[in-house]
Amino acid sequence: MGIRVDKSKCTGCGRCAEECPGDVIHMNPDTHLPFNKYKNDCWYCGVCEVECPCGAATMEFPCLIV
Amino acid sequence: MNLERKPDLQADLLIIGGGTAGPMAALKAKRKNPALDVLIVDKATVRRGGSICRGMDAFNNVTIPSKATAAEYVDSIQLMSDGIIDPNLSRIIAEKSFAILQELESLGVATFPRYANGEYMVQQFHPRGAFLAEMRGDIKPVMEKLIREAGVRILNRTMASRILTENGRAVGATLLNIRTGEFQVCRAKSIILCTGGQGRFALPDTGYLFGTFDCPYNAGEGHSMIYHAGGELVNMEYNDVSPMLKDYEGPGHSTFIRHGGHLVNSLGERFMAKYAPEMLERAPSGIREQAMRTEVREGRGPIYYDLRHLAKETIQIIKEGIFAAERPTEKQFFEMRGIDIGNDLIEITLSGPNMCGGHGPTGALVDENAETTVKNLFAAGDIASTGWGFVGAAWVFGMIAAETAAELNAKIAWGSIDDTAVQAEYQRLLAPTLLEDGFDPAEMEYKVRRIIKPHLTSPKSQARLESALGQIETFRRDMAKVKVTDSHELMKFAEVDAIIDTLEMAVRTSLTRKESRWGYGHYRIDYPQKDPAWDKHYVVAAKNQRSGCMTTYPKAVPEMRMQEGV
Ligand SMILES: Cc1cc2nc3c(=O)[nH]c(=O)nc-3n(C[C@H](O)[C@H](O)[C@H](O)COP(=O)(O)OP(=O)(O)OC[C@H]3O[C@@H](n4cnc5c(N)ncnc54)[C@H](O)[C@@H]3O)c2cc1C
Ligand code: SF4
Ligand code: SF4
Repeated sequence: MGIRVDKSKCTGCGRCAEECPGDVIHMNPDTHLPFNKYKNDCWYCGVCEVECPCGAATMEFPCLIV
Repeated sequence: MNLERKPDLQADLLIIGGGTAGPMAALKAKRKNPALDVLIVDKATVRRGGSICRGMDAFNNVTIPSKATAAEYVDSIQLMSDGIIDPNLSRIIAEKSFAILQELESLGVATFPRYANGEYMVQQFHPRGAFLAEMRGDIKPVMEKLIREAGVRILNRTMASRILTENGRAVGATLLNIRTGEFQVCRAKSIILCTGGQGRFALPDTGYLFGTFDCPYNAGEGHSMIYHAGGELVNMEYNDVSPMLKDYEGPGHSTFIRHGGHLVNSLGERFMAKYAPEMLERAPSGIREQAMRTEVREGRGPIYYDLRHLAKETIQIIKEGIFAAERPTEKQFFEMRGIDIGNDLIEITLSGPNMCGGHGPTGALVDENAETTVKNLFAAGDIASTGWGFVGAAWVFGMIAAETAAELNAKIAWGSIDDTAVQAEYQRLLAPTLLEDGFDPAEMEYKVRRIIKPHLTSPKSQARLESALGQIETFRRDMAKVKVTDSHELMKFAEVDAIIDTLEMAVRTSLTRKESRWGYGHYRIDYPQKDPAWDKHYVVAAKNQRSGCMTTYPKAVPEMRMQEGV
């Protein structure tokens, strides 16, 4: 699946999208929030979680894994 | 989408892949020659790309002088590979790995836990000898910072697609920015491929394309690039099938087993005692696979890890290792499933076969400088056939390749770029962008990968392998119908092409090795015995440069060289 964003904490900094090794996460140019553009390419590595400086990102497992 | 051609780049040393081997190569090249212009490209990012994106809990193959000897290490790898790995390469890993450990420790890249008496925590994981040191740390961001500070140029989200050659030597590579769709040539005097293993081989049992044990962002393009450049790949017929946590498809084996965990069947029997009474769970992986498949076939599945007999402190160390360093999201997975690893059985699945030089013998044929059979083209890490290389081969041969390239740099003249080859590659990548309608790259990938387990799992047979060859032909035809809508999909198109190349290598080499070896690593039902004529012989997969077709042939494995002064 990919990133799940807590909108109340997200500053739109883009770190998660910058570092996601699968290129899953992109930034929405209108909302300035990250979203899962290629959710079926997620390796559930959790890089988005550790790269987020605001504690706004959690990894959501892909459907077929959980 | 628009595939825009950008002006050429140039670097003395181009490193392709910034996972584990790549950053070590970059650092060592700069240390050897600070004036060297080093460029590292990664289709993800150097900070987080590759197998150890979140760290790793063990340095699986380090020879610490007081704990084990180089001879034991060479012996273990010879045993695991049944003699089909160059022992000189194993010796080099054994001799150079401890200095790397010390350097990583002193640079603050990783830490290595010690016992109260100050000795490194080292355990046995190989059939013989204790080479596995516990390791901690978020390695990659520290490495990335070090190479930036050393003046290495970094290009992220940049995928290499072909090596450009001139008279049998590498002179450059084609690059694609997977976010912008820009296409570029980089000229280089030397190139090191550090693109990892073929992480996207057989479709996992979950059916999820990216639910693989090995890093799925390594899709074998490195193997494919070496092949098209005229290099040789070996042991591609070897099936790597490791026990995987069911559904998560993640690691556990080395951590569970080295701490005393058992493999049990559904009757609770520690069944490895029947198949490998001495080595038990530490038996070479093909023997273990054969045992597990036999248990399942005879109705005693599923197979589980059983850690229930281990002390609480041991379970704590296991949890720290896997949950904090190796695959931290496994913790969330166990929690969601309600599995407590110290109290519950842990169910296993047998996905694969996988194809990885880190967990097996497959990959590019390289010499003691990590040079492939294409001049000035090096390969280090999971892409190379250095024999169960793990992080040790990535770091040791990343270093050796870089130091060799740095040393030779002044003597290498710039090559000239063949514009016809560049144009051909541009057209190959342009074609799927021009279609009005067509197959999705993901559909195509599914279609290819779903045949791997049924056709390549041991016991293999001539008929099933030949049937796979027929399907590969249709895959090649259908690739012309794949349409991409953006640069991310174009990356996938190139990946699927590489998956087909590596599949063809696996099938053709499996047909050529008319014997059985490595347990279920390569078990031919029509040739069930080991044939001594194949002892000490690789099967090579290479491109016949005249016909453009894949060819396979035997090649002798080098003998162990006597060392100077011995
Ligand atoms: C889950 C897991 C657990 C493991 N556990 C251990 C362990 O406990 N101990 C141990 O010693 N070893 C372990 N290993 C093995 C070890 O991690 C690998 O052997 C090693 O990290 C491989 O390094 P590498 O540089 O070859 O590949 P990687 O580190 O995977 O790096 C490959 C890089 O190449 C990039 N790339 C791929 N294709 C291209 C392209 N076409 N263009 C540009 N860039 C590209 C990728 O994005 C990636 O960053 C484990 C591996 C995995 C996956
Ligand atoms: S878990 Fe990993 S692959 Fe998935 S979205 Fe997060 S960073 Fe990307
Ligand atoms: S890293 Fe965190 S704060 Fe920054 S954009 Fe991503 S979720 Fe938002």
